[in-house]
Amino acid sequence: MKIATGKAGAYTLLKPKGRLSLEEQKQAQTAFEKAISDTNAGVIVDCTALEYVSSAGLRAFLISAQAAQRKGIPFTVCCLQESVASVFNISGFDRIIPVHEDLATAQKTLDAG
Amino acid sequence: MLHLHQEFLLLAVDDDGKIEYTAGTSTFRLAFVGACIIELTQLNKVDCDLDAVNVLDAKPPKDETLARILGLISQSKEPQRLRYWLSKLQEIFPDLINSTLKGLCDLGILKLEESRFLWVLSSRKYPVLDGKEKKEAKLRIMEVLLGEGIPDPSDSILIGLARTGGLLEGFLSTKEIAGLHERITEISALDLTAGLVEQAILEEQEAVANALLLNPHPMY
Repeated sequence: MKIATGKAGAYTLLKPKGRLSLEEQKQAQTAFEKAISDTNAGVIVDCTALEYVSSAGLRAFLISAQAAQRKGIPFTVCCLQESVASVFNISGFDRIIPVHEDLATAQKTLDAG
Repeated sequence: MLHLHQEFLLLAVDDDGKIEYTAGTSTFRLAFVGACIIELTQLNKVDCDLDAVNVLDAKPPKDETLARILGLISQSKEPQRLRYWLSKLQEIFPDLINSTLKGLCDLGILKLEESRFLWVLSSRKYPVLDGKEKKEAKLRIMEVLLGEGIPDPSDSILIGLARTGGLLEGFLSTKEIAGLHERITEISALDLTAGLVEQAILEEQEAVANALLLNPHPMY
């Protein structure tokens, strides 16, 4: 899995590409947590190129959402592929992590506070 | 720390050592075998997605119940869906419950009491010894339910299973459950495997309810 880092306005933008299962969980978690610790504005994970998430891979999102909550900054995801959206829905993650259809909406929502 | 399936079963044992009536229901069976598979995912022995349960590490864990389940999943010629295992493992449900109860006795948490009724029929009870572990599980659940933050995955999974397995009623009143409904719904599961187990349980409950509607007096 590759994770590109960039900016979306004031926010840190992460773009994971490929599969996220147990094998990649640590890498994803480290990248997400570093992004959270390096910003005071918020983190957006753009999942356009995230093709697959397993039960173990999903933990990276939960642990990162907890870390962001502890720091008091938003942690949000956008652009979920259909299968990944199903995983978020079945696991209930979409009840605790804001999910947006596209990057512009995610950014706008964060800007609105 | 106890395994998830041990904690879940412990919540179903009342102070006299009797297992709650809910333990006989199909919902409880599904929740219990689900708890075992979820625990195997937490131990990184298996990983689960929408299509299959995949073995990552076939080395048996110390816990007898989990080792038996992992053995069965490992022996499967090809990976099967979670639904398949939820149904397949119910065939050995009594064995799984007995080995888990035995494990809790070995840990000094429960005590096996065998008695005879009319000198013939034997009955078993599993009184809780000092109740520390059960109290701790209940306290953790309450702390999460009354809090506002994102809970640890193990806590949200236990709450989800206790809710769908009908065990919350054992220590919360109907009024309290109704008051906490929104929070319970928000933080239940928070795990893909737990979410899939919950989905299977809800469908089973719906099927039972439909069967009762169609045939309200099955004895006649």
